[in-house]
Amino acid sequence: MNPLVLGGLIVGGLILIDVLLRLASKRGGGRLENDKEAIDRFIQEFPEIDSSDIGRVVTTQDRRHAFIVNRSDGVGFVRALGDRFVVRLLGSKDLASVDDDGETGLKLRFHDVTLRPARLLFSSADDRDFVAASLRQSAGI
Amino acid sequence: MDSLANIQLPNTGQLAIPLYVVGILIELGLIWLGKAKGQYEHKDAMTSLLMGVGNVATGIIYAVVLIAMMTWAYNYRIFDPGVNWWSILLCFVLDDFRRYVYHAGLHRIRWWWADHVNHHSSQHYNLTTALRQPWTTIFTGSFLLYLPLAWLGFHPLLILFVGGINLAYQFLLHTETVGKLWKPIEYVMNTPSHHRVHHSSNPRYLDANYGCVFIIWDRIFGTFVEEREEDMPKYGLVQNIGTFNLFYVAFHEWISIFKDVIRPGLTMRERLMYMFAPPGWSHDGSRKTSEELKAQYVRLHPDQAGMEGLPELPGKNAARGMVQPAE
Ligand SMILES: [Zn+2]
Ligand SMILES: [Zn+2]
Repeated sequence: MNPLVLGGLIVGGLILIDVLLRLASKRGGGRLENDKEAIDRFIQEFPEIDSSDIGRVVTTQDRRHAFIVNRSDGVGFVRALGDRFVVRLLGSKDLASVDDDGETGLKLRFHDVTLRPARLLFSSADDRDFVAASLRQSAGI
Repeated sequence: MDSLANIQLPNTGQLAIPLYVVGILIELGLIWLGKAKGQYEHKDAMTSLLMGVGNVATGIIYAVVLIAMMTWAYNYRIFDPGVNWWSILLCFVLDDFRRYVYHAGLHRIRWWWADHVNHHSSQHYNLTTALRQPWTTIFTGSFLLYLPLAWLGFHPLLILFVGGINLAYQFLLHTETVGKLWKPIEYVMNTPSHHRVHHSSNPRYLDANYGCVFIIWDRIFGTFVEEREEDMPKYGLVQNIGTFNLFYVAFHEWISIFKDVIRPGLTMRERLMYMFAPPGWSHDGSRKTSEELKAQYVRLHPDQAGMEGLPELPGKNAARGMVQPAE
């Protein structure tokens, strides 16, 4: 096959599939319906955590992030990625920095390079302060 | 050596590209029309496709090294089967076995996993997932595994030809549109069902179904696990990546290895284990290997112990060992 035809097929195919998927994709991606969904997703990936250890659950305004503050063992973190979710148990080695951002915002940086920095907005200053304090305590920073 | 011009075999790499584009469009159409099972997500699918483009680009360097090495080995060949129907068939089967061995290594040696993890990093399973391929295969040294075939006397272009057919077959496995096939086919061949298992992070499915075209290698070597309706595949990694950034998708595990190896206070053995032990190994037990995840699963679900893909409960083995065989 002529390399130009081949290159055209690759580029054309990519553009066509990109356009079709843009048209079909739901706007906004995955959302956590409620606290239970956040806990279920967390427990599914960390089944060794006793459900009685689960404390308060705080979800961000956009419902794409949730923090599950455990009584004894780190902070559970559920984060939407596209229409799926990524789950972590944030302990002492996971957070590089935790910074307040305005009234109700929070900026997080992780040591894990596959977790991109997060800029989060909570519904209230109380939610933000509680999550920030829990994360700082868990990370020892 | 036969001159390369004398070997008339189709360029499977080029022929595969129309298959990929048409295959994805058909799968997308069937899903949208509600005629087939499956899910696509825009960013996920585009990440997979662009990883595939990068794989083709980096694959040119890999191919140059591979052909040079195979040509060198072919010059010292011990047989001379030529290129005919039976040598093509034999080469195909032997190459498929080589791929099984290599694939098992890709999952059990972290240095190799750093390359292969990319193929498993989507939480979706559709034909674009097949094209989510690594950019760093040259660093695995895997071209060395091709040398025995060339040394046996299979022409390098024949080895590339059967490899191309193998990859095209594997592309078609990455779909939920096909359920289970006719039993004899499911017994001998790798199928979408078997490969769904391979792409799943459910404990029972970890480190299973390494076969590429034939699944019999897994049945022979005890790595086969059947897809079960009551434990539907959860696609992706044990710890999924939280990014669509191509750089991190391609290199994240290499970065993690580097960070682990330069940690202060480790012994030389521990540094080597971070490179070559199974993924999930850690010097302080802070991570879990797939064996440990399977053991944890049966502790939490004792009724599942000993089932395909899962170990016995530790206590049960010990108790069994104490029973004297009846005479
Ligand atoms: Zn694999
Ligand atoms: Zn695959």
